[in-house]
Amino acid sequence: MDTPIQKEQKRIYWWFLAPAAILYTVFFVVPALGTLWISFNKWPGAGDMRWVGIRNYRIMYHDPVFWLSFVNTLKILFIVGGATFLISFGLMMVLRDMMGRSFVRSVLFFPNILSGVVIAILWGFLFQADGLVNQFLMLAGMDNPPKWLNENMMINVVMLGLIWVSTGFYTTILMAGADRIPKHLYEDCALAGAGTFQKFRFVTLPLMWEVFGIAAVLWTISSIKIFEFILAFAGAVGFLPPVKTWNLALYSYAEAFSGEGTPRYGTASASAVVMLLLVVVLVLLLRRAMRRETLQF
Amino acid sequence: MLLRKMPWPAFRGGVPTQGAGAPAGAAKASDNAGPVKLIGLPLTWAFVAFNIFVLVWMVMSSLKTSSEIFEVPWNLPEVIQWENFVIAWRDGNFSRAVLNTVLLTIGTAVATIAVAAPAAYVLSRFKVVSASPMTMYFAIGIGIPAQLVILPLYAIMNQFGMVNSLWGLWVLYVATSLPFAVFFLTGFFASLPGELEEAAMLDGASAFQTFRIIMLPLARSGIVTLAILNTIAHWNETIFALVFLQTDDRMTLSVTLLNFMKAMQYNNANWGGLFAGVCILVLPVLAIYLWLGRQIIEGMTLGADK
Amino acid sequence: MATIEFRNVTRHFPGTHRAAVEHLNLPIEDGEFVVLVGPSGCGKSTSLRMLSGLELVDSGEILIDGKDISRARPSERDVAMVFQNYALYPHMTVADNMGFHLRIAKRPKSEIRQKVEIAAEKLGLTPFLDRYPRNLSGGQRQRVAMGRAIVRTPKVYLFDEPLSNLDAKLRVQMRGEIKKLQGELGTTTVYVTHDQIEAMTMADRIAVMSEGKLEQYGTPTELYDRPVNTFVAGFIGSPGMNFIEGAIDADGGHFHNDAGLRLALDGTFTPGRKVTIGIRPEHLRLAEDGFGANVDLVEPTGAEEMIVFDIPGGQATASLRERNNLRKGQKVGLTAAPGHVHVFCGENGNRLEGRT
Repeated sequence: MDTPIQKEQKRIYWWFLAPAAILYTVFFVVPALGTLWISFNKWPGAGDMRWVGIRNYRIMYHDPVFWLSFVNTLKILFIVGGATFLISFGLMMVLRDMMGRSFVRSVLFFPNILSGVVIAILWGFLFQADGLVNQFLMLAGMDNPPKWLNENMMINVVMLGLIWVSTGFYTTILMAGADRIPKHLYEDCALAGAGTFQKFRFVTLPLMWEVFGIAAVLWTISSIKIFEFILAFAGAVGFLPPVKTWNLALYSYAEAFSGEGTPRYGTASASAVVMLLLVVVLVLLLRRAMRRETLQF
Repeated sequence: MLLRKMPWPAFRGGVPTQGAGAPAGAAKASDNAGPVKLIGLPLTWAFVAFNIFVLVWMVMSSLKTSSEIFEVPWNLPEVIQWENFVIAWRDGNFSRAVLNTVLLTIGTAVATIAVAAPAAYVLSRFKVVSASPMTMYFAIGIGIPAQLVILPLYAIMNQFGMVNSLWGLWVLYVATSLPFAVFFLTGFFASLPGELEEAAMLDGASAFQTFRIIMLPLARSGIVTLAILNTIAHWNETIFALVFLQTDDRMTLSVTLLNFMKAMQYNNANWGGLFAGVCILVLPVLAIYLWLGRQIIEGMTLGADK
Repeated sequence: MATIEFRNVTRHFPGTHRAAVEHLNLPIEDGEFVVLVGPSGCGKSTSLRMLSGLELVDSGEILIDGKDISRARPSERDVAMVFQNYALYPHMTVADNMGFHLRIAKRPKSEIRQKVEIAAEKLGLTPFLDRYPRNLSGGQRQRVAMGRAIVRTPKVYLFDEPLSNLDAKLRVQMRGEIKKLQGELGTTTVYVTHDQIEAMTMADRIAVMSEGKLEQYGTPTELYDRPVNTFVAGFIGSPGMNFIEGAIDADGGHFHNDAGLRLALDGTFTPGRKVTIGIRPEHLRLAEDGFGANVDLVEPTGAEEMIVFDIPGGQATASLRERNNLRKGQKVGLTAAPGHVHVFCGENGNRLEGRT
């Protein structure tokens, strides 16, 4: 049974929902399923598809470039993620009672609203052989500054750049989480004679646990999608950056659009599916690991 | 995936009150006068200085000659090279790209809101059984990487002549904006007081009128925030544009910048021009950021702060 | 101008184990001011919302002017509601808020303006017509919410705890204003509150509800003088009535408990019957020949003194007007006039009347 209002709501429900649902389904969900399908086929992007079962996955399994990309993806996920988190946490602590905190937050956050292409160009320029970073290092007395942009070093510079950008974002999230902790808890702690470390240990940390979990999920989702930054970072050298900097997003793109040989849509799709699986598995694991009773305060 | 319950900032009279500036609760919360501050404070300011420096250096470099950029990177330009911008604008195809990108970003933001707002409204406020699974259905899209949809989309849209077409890209942008847009606005509509809806119904407004006259205007700040985020996102968007646009007359900014960079492999490297191109991308965003920074930051981190 | 009648109305929310409102029968006369009162969860708000059409009626019917409207759309019922948080549209001016119903009803602009102005005049809102709700004080917002209802000239006004967001002083003032306004307009009004003082001061008749059921429906004095059971007796009156459990004496005209407390009753009751007696704090008085009591706590309020006594078999609160300079531990005698001793059944709490 429904009230007349609910009846009317039910009448317009689908009219309101349909445009979004249809667009999203047709241009997003169906293609995603299509990719899953293509990943089990051999397909050069036009003409007939040929069912090959898990062959694409097997090809990838034996492709060192795939493994390189896979490892890079994990490196970005864990190393960049870990460093970003630690720095963001430190910044959050410093910014808690600092003058001009909202100014600092704005400045640190700013790179997040820039195009990955722009960030990559700026970052790449800083690390040129005769770029600002090395000029600075030479001023500081280092005679032979590293060649940042050689093939082996580049992924590290990429990761440093990602840390630079992400820190502002996650600092903001952690700050918002810390701001939600009621002041009176700290006051009570102070009355009980707790020191800085104890306040941190018994109030800040437990009450921010949930925020950490959310930040970790956000990072997982966004880190696996990272693409523009890497693509454009080495764009000055050629169309695609050196293989040693690829992550799965690059790998998937290159398999289909490298412009060399026949496009391998099958493996491109398969690696995209691997990306998704990675997201799903990691997010599920994270949610399991971070699961605690939600605290209301 | 992401979505559990999304508690939203408390809503009072049309203005979401949320972590505005320095919250009272945080001030002096921890008197960490010790090592954290001693080391942390200088490092924090160094970080801030670095970010500002990069921005200043970017603008400076866009006004220098190519050799100046490398030889005297710390100096101000000897003679201001406005022609860098002229080159980027004219030879680098930026004029066309700016026009295309402006049309595309505005069109995308408007259409996204037109489609997402009604959906988010019914999903968040109507007591319909399918509302919660449908909300979930949209939210899943937030976790799906572009690589997972690009190939079939390319194949299908190619069939319908929607490749290398700004219209095609527009549809694609709107569709791919929906997961976040619906998710974002659902949270916003859910935070509006239900009494207003009931009052409107008692006043005789139909469900549609209630949406249009009452709820939509009330969600204005959320919609504006979404519009800004959406605009910035598509101003910067690269991967779809890279795949779906092919000819210069239809290029957007990010891809134009990439192409400009690529072209320099073959021609004389005009680094000043490249920086001018970078500035063309960055400065409008910077302007919006200076104007609406807090809204942007809070919008982008919303959903994570509670 | 309208009569209202709830006939056997039941509302059971899916997934809950007790009905929110159960078999409610409540006739309301034309022009009457009826207050639904009870603790939270008693079903008073649900009843109001069923009357407004915002809530579904599972069974039974609700009649306005003899016509069953329990399935009608809210807008077809011609009722206006004042919400707890006022529900003012924040993006509309005071005038637009007040005229919104007429705008939806597509009335001409001149008519809307005229009606809004008349209502604003009545409520003292004329200077604020162009302001937005956020620029008004709590009391002014309250008035706008009322103005929105008045402009419509509906058959029925509904109020859902409209004063609970105001501070104590303003609440008393608005209480009077609403009552006065309703008297002038003569429109049938149903008013929900959890505050029994609000109910007592404003209502023509009060419906006391508890756990979805109507406990008693009557004028304020009826409820005060002759509560039908211990629930109503305890709910109406502040501080609450004192209850003492015990039994009727062999003579039928007295009450006693095991601890030796004995009191004369009005009329005769079945000897030996287990009962609970209730005495309002304001009806207890000091008396040499009363039952023994020890002062436990003295709370002066200025006008009177609230004194908590240890009495045989429990505690009792008395509010005494005269200043007795009582101190903790002091022994006194307490009593109450037989006419002020309410007798309730010891098992189901229902009121018992003595035979005369």
